[in-house]
Amino acid sequence: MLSRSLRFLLIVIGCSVIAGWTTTGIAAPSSSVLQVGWGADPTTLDPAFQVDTPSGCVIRHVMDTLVDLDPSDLTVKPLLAKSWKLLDDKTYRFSLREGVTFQDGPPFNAEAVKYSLERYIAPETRSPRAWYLDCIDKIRAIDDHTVEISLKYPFGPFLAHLTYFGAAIVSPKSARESGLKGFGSQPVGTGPFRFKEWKRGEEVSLTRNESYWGKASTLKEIRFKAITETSTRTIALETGEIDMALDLFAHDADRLKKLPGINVMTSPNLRTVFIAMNTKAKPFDDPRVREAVHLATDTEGLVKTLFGEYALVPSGVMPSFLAGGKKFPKEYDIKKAKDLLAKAGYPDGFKTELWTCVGRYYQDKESAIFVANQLEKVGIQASVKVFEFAAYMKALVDRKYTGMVLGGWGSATGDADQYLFPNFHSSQASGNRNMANYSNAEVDRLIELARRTADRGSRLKAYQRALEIIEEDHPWVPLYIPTQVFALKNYVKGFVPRLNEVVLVDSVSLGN
Amino acid sequence: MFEYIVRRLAFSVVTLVGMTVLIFLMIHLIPGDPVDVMTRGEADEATKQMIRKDLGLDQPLFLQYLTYMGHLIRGDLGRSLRTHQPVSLEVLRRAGATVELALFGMLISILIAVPVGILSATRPYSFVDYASMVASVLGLSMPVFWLGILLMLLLSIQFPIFPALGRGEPLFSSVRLLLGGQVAPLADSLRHLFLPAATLGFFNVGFIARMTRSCMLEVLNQDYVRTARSKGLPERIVIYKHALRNALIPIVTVVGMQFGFLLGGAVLTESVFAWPGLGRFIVESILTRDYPFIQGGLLFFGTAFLIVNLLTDCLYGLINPQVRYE
Repeated sequence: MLSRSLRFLLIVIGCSVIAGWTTTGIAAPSSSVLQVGWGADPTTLDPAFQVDTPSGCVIRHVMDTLVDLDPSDLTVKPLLAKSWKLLDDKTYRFSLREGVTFQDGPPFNAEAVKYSLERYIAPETRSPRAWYLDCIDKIRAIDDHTVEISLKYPFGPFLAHLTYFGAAIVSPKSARESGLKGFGSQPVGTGPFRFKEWKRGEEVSLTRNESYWGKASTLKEIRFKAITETSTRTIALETGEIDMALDLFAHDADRLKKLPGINVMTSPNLRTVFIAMNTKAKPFDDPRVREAVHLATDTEGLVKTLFGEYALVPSGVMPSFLAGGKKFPKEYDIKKAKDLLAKAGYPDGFKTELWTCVGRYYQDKESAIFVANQLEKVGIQASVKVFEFAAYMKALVDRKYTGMVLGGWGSATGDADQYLFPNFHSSQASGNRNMANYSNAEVDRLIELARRTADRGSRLKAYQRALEIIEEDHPWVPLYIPTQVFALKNYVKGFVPRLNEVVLVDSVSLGN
Repeated sequence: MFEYIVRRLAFSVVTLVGMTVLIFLMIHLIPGDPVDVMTRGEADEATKQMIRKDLGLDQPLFLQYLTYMGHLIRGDLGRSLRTHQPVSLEVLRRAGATVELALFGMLISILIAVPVGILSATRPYSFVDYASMVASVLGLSMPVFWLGILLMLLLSIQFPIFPALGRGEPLFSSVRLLLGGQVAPLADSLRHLFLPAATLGFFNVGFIARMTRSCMLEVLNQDYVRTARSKGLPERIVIYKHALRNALIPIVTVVGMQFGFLLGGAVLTESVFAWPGLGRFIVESILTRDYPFIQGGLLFFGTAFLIVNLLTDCLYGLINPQVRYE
């Protein structure tokens, strides 16, 4: 009865459905393989060239650093270094853990530490983040388990900097064999997992290191899958194709919270997204203008509108929960802003530009537009210019902006220096650092003072004083501190989020 | 015919060389520096200059182009600035994924669209006709992105039949394994292919169905069709052997052209389904200014498009023996 074409059509559809159904269904969760879905694939697994967080996270599963940050209070804790002492204010002597071997066989020793760190900071390596450790002058292997590092100058944040990905200890044997170009695809370290395979752009898989020196993970394998679309990532979590979804946003979180079997976790973050005003160009060279912009921005309104409960309102340029931080109340006062502008000679406001990136931070462009709208109330016409990533980088490097630019900064080391020095020291006004071209002699002095001493008390006092001065000067309008959102299946236990956005899953277990 | 192919190939080479010049100019003229992207703007100028020197990016454009072409002739497409892997390997691997997706997408399109078009043409202005044409327009106007997620919600979550994302076993190796007696890898490939291919295919169903319908309508009104019917031939033979064959040339043209576009334009589908195809990676390499990869990837697309065009033209000769190439 049915025409030939119709019959044919129905057969085709029927076959496809059967083809799908006859094969095994969606894989049941394995009790020992953890599948993690995130938004971007790593770019390299070589600590010397790491610039993005996914690369850093995988690196930290395969390799260890000498010291680590405690996830709850960001203090420095031993890892590959058992203990350390300061011989003088520029020399550190580390006592290394014994009985540790690299995944390719040779023992971990002081020579390996010397090789790794020197490789990272060597000019021939061309590491973009070698500046993290450019305080190092000499590294000496005293004996197999003692290494002495002498600095060029006393450097307070040194230990915190040693927790950074770049300072991860690589296997000298493999690094020499693979060379600078090859090690990033074949990383070898002392970490709880060894590198298995990397399908670029798709997934990185690691297997448990059975000869790990520390507490063995219950996971036999970890697979980090790159899923760029957040909707796809959340769907993959629902179907069970991944056990953990990272890099999620507010609207995904709300949807996922309602689903059975899924646990949504949040964690604050050390990153602040802000608008920097070019303090060296008119009219933002006048602190009254900057204060006016600050007063005219309703940060609370911005956070509530764009993020709901998934961002914090900053209480200063640096998150106050970072040691050395201080809480400054945020004022929102349009009348006061208008008065200040009038005093500065702009009773009718002025025209300027607000440059922003798009997609680099959640709701970055939207925040810029929000702020531009608010500034209109005081007569400031800020036209928003949106740059895609590479053009944005170029704009920062070329420093052609005369108005405002939106940016973000986090502290990977958990140390206030890594937040304040690159952003507020006058020597750092290049690239993505010190976007405001800020220069204040007293702030410079305080930051340098805090760098030059290892005494925690005096460092914290110096930072607080510096923050007070910066708060008066208003080089930035801090906009929001995005909350990290993770979604995990109920059977994923033991995950501890970290403030510096590093995701470590070695302590996770899959309880079914 | 043979001389025709050789001549076409020769012209293709010229077109490709022209393409390399255009691509080269374009990627170097857009603002943005790969070294800034690689270093996130954090390295000092001295380090960046050294990196530029290592990568040959400090040379004048003209010299850079000649160096690139010199390597290209020897089959060396350079190394990706991001991954340091040879571009030829990376492009081929991902191109395999895109070709798989495009082939299956096209297959699904044809399997649905041609019968639908014939159905519409043989019952013109009936309910079936209107329904299928409306459905075709829907397919054309639905955003690929939206359709993909919809299919995922329906066929991965609501009815967990297909995996939501990713690529299974590469088709080539699963076919090889099939010949060795293993069915599971092929099933895995097909299961992962279905949703993205269907998403991609829906769009083309519209084009091809409408083209099929109008070509068939035109042909079905011809005298020789009336002759065939009056000869007493079964309707099946009239439609498929006599009518369709003559209607095929425009349909084949559309299919060929669309296939060429599918090869290059599956970016959205690849993003939604996390399919490791070339389109998505080219977009990423444009965003990170990975010049060698952009050039290698686009060169692949250009070549593929030219080959598909050539094959389509050759196919005319097979379909319609009256078509001759001097």
